Amino acid sequence: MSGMRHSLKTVCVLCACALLVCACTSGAGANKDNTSDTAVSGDDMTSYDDVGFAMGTVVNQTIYSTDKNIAAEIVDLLTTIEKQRISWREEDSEVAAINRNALAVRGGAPTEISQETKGYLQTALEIAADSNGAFDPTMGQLTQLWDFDGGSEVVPDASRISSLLADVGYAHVHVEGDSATLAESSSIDLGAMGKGIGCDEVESYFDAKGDVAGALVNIGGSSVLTYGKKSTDEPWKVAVLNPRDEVDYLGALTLKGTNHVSSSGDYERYFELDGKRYHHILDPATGYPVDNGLMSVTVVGRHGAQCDALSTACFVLGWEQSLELLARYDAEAIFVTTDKQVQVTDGLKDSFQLLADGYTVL
Amino acid sequence: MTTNKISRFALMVVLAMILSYLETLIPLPFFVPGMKLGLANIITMIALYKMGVPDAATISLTRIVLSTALFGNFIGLAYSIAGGVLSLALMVCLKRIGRFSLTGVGIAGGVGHNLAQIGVAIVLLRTDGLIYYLPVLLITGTVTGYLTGTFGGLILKKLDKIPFV
Amino acid sequence: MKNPVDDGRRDARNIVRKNDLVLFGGLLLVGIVLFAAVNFAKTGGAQVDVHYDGAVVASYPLDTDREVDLTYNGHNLLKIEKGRATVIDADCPELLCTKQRAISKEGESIVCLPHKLVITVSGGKPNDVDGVLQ
Repeated sequence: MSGMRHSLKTVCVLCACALLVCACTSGAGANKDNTSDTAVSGDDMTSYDDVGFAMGTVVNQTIYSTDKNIAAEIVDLLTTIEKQRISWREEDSEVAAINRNALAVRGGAPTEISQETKGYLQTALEIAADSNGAFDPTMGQLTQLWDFDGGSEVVPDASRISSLLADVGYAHVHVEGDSATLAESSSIDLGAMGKGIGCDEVESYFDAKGDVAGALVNIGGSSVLTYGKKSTDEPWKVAVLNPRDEVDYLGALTLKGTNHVSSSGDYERYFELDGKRYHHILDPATGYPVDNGLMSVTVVGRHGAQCDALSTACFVLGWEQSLELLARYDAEAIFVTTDKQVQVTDGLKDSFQLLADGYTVL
Repeated sequence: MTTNKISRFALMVVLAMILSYLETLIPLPFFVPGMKLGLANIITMIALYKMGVPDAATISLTRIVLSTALFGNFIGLAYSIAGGVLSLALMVCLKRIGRFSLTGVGIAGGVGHNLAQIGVAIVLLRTDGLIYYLPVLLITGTVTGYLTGTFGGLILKKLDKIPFV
Repeated sequence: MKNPVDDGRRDARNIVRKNDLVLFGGLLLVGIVLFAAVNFAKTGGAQVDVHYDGAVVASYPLDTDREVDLTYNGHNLLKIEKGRATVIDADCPELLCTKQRAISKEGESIVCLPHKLVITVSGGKPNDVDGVLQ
């Protein structure tokens, strides 16, 4: 036993000595530079791809431009939007500041916000009003209670849900001048449109940059921006995953020029309990996951934030009640029901191609 | 611990580290994740026969930590420790069985090291597909183990003729 | 072997004993059989899948040449050329990912341990879309 203890001591002493040596020589090793530019084969390539991380998810990009730094700049841009403006998780974000003031002061206190965040909130409130609250940006506390992001697999107490639900309501959000106020002790969560906001900002960035001929930016597989065109003039092809088979495509959309596509599905984050599926799209009217026979909704339109919020609103509303809402925003959509029926709005019929077996287009 | 023992320890650790370093200088025709020549294992084997299991374990662990600090990176530490532990465990087993020479013990060490590497990689990377490397790692572990084990055997034979200080 | 009637005592004095050779041959045989089994089953793959932390984050067809900057976790530059995929540049300490051979067959992979990156080749239908919505 004492032998073992001695051995342990020896290990520690020798390690400490070596670490000292290590610290002294680390300066010499630091000039080892592994990055080399020679590997990139120059400007002759028409496009390049990038797989990065931003907004808590993977960002896939295909960029048609001679500027090779664009992909990295997009990742930085999205990270900045997330951290400084829209994430309720980030202490320093504007949304987090609004939420803090809502809880700290009874009736909420005005929080100064940027023009960009003001625009996001206005879009959110507009769609919330037009969908009669089917999309609601003040569901934050309920989303945190269910905690699908954290992998929780428990159905919360009914009493807890109803008490949080009482404070939910987009009408409690007031945007005036340079400030926003949340009047109830709920919290703003732009998670349902954050990736769409990202796509809008990327589009503006491309417009300002001027040297991007075409690009496809896919944020987390839930919001896609197609921008401009490929060097081959071929249209963009965006696949929609089979809601019940993650390696199969339900179908593919053929899109020309700049478009935004967002989808919401019951299979992104969910758990099953007693044969029932509990997924992350909560109905603001009940506080429970939407249970209306839909598996996924994909919306195509001109603006990312709108498409993203609309895909959630349409999932809550269902096919019939969504048509008017979609028309108002000049958006098109694909609805997929749990009995494997696919409904496509008129404007998309020519560009959607069904690929999965067992599904029928109505 | 006597001065004698301390110097013997230090000698063994330093020798193992030198071999570890030498190994990084040898260019391999191809690289498979987890594959290693395992020259430093020669020292562990000699320690195992000359000094016993606790001392061999101490020398092996010290060598791994120091080599990682000096020539490697800390992400590799989990892999190296797992490799060191499993290879030593298998070597001790084979030595206890007694029907093998250092060559067999070396094979156990080589295979044990490689199996541990792939096991840790599957757990840390959460990718079952890495099991595809198993056959190659089994073969390379057997071959490198045979070579290091036999070499260790030769050294041990020489050491028998001189007093091991 | 010099002495065909090797008794146990004599064998014990040899550096390489009979049991060592049996162990060596046995393990080698198992390895070769497994290797053959795995490689016979291998067919030319259709697409390259990029995994981080065990999840596929991107897929590209093998038949289209391209370079992909993988920056999800550290930096690795993936090159797909003539139906084969390699990592040609990275910022990990030992650059072992750049030393692994090019992959083109189903099940083959390239690993970058420090970045928790695994690149594999899979079969199935080639992915000819620009983006996938989940």
